[in-house]
Amino acid sequence: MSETSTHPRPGVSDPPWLRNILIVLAVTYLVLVVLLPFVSVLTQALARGFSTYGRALADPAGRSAILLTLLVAAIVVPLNTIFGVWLALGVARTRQRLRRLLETLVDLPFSVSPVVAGLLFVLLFGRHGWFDPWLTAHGIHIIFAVPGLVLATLFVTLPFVARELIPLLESQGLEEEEAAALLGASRWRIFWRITLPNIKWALLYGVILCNARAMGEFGAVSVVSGHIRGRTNTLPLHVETLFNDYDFTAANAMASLLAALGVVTLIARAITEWQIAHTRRNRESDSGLDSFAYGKTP
Amino acid sequence: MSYLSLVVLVPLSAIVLKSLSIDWHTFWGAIGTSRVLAACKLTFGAAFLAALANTFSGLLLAWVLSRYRFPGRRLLDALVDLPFALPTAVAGIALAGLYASDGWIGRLLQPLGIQVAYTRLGVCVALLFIGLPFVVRAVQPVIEDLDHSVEESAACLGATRGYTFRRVILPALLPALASGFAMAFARGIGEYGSVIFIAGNIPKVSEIVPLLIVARLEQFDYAGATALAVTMLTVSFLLLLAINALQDWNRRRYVRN
Amino acid sequence: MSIGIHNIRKRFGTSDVLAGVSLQIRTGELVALLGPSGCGKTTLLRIIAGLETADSGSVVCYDQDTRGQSLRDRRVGFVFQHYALFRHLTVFENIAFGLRARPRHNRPPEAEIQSRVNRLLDLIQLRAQGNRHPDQLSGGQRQRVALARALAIEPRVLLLDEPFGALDAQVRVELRRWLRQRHADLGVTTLFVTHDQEEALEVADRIVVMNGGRIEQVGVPAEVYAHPATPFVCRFLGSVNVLPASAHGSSKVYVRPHELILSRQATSDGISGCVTSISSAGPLARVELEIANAEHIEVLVAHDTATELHAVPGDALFVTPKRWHTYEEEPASETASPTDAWAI
Repeated sequence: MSETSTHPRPGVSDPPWLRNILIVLAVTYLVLVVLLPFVSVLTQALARGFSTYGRALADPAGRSAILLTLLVAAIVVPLNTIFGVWLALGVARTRQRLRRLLETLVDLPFSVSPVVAGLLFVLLFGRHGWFDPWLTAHGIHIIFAVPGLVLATLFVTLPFVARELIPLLESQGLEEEEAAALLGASRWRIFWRITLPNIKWALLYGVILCNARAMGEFGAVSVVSGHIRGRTNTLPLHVETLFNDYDFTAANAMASLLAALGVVTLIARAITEWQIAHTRRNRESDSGLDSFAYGKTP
Repeated sequence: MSYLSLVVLVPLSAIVLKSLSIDWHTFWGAIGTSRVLAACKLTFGAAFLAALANTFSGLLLAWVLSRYRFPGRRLLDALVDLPFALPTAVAGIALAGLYASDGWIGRLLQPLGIQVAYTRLGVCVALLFIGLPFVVRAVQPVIEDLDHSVEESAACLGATRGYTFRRVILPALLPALASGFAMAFARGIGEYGSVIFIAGNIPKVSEIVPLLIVARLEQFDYAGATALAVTMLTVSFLLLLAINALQDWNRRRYVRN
Repeated sequence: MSIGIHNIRKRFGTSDVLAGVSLQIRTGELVALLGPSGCGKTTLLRIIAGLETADSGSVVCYDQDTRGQSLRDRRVGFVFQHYALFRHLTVFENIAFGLRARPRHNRPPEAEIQSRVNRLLDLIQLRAQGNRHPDQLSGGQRQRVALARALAIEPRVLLLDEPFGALDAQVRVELRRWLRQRHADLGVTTLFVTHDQEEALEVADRIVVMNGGRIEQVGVPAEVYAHPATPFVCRFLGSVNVLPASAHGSSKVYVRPHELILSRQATSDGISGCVTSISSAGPLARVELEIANAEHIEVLVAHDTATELHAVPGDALFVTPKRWHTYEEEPASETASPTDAWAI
């Protein structure tokens, strides 16, 4: 098809008047439905100037909320990254039928309402819960305390890394790893030098998504936290508290911090998508093992 | 595998076991109240309507983003993911602020007699925001992969552009649209953070099922909360199966022979 | 004259895909556009169909300038290399598509549509498969459906873009014979694009040989094969030996493998050579020889002849051309190399 062009052609093009109307409609819809709420958070936060941020951060409850959110993320993200990689490697290599079941299972925390997720942990570790006798005997508190927040966040962010990696691993195949194994590389070396570089962009994006959800999770942590101000309020919960206290400016200020997180996620998505497509194009122009084994650039 | 089972299956079995220790009578008692029915009608109804609306708008957006080139297209494309990337609490207070009677949009609607905040309409609007990316991202790859020669062939055979769209393009997009709809619907029924701020949470009026679960938990009515949760889980599970089936249909349809 | 193509030019980016192409096609003719990939033949076909617009020049179809004419009004039947069938419709619905897509005032009644489609199904011998979907058919069957679909709208011109390119060799041969027969039955002006010279020679009434956006030669198959107008046409239509300048003049000599005579005795215009290999090429024997300047030539003779000669590798034989072609100007790009003869 080297003779055909890629510019708009009569058989495939919509008439210009229709195109313009549809573009205007699409832009209007997105601005109204998506952009406006986002912008309103920023404007409301700045309604009384930048001093709002100063006050909100000076508030000890606000500070501890930020610190708690960071702590939870710092625990959850590394754990789920390691586990996600391990899980993805396992699932991508299982037989077809078992793989579908495993993929559904991995998706489960993702498809369950966050409130139900939180409820699960309350039923396990809360008063009258399954483990309650054992926990009270040892003086351990999970629900209405930080460990509960960590566990609930762990559950809801579980799939993110795995979901990004599984399709990529499936499409890449095992050739390079097998070649390395035949050349005598150890399993750790294979993973570190071959598997990891190939999945690094998808992994990065999965980690960013995991982090975004870990910091932004609301429903599940709302159920297990008990909303104890200064102790078990994460940043999203603190936003809710401020909102319920009618302190809208402060609420929006704190929310804008989280919104910034959302923007970072979007930028990361754009970058990693470009990188993944770039890598895929290079791989397709490779002639099998040549470029890897002999170090030629594609 | 052991980590997976610990973190996923143990809590799930806890819920099931707990609900088993509740006898049928209590179960139905917990579910059968008019308050629950109202919440269910709202949750499923609003999620359905929002997903439906998102199917149409999602098709429009996916088409415009895939087929047309115009300045700012990349930015618009990134914007589609914002509802997905934004923490739900942020979306919640943003929408609540926007549609309150003194908010930017609420202010405009009030003279028309339309109230969004603290009503069922508010719930729909919130779910509309949340569900947007699902349909767009489900349909976009299919549109991008459409075989141009099929459209050219329809034009050569004498079909108008509109006829070609209705009879040739749309049927090819149907599996992806259905899949996107199902995903938006599934997300909608479980949504909590984005909805509770704008909804007002008035029992029997603008109360969603997840909120009802939380309310019962706060009253330590574990049995009642669990009964509701089991119902939701069942629906989620069935939806998950449906989504998988639809995605299989989609995969079979648009993979070329 | 049904189609008149006048000085069509088309540029994609920085390259001239069509550099001034002119052609006349008679009503009812079956014409092949033959050439290597990138020569512009598909682009020319698509311009005639209206799927692309030319930068300059015009296409006149049945006394009507097609510039500005919408695709729908052209009544051109187009068949794509990969069929472009509507996968969600049955075979019957595919064929009926063009008729049902017409605006109400123009649309034949449903009963007539049904009978027309059934007649076409009989024509393509797929009456029993009417209710199947395209993915239940073989490649050859799908292409027949694509053809029937194009014919359903009773086009004035039928255009086929490498119609058999995606099919197996055996199916290709069967289908091109079938196409020739259908054309004889229906008599629709037909233009098809191919890179397979065998196909063009076998099927077409006239062949248009294209290269680099220009037409090299137009003529009936026998003429183009026996009297190629340029070295490119000579090389493209069947294998050819390129002998260096010799007693016959200062330019290269083009001889087809089966137009060489092998003998043990020297002849007046013969060239001596040493046999390097003898193999079977279907109904003929292929004898490869090395001649002066370490060049190799290929000779095709009947098996009997080869046996009579008792030729074995290493023997010295003489090769005499029966018929050959020379050209006055050799364009700089057409550098003949020893491997030219097998380059096709």
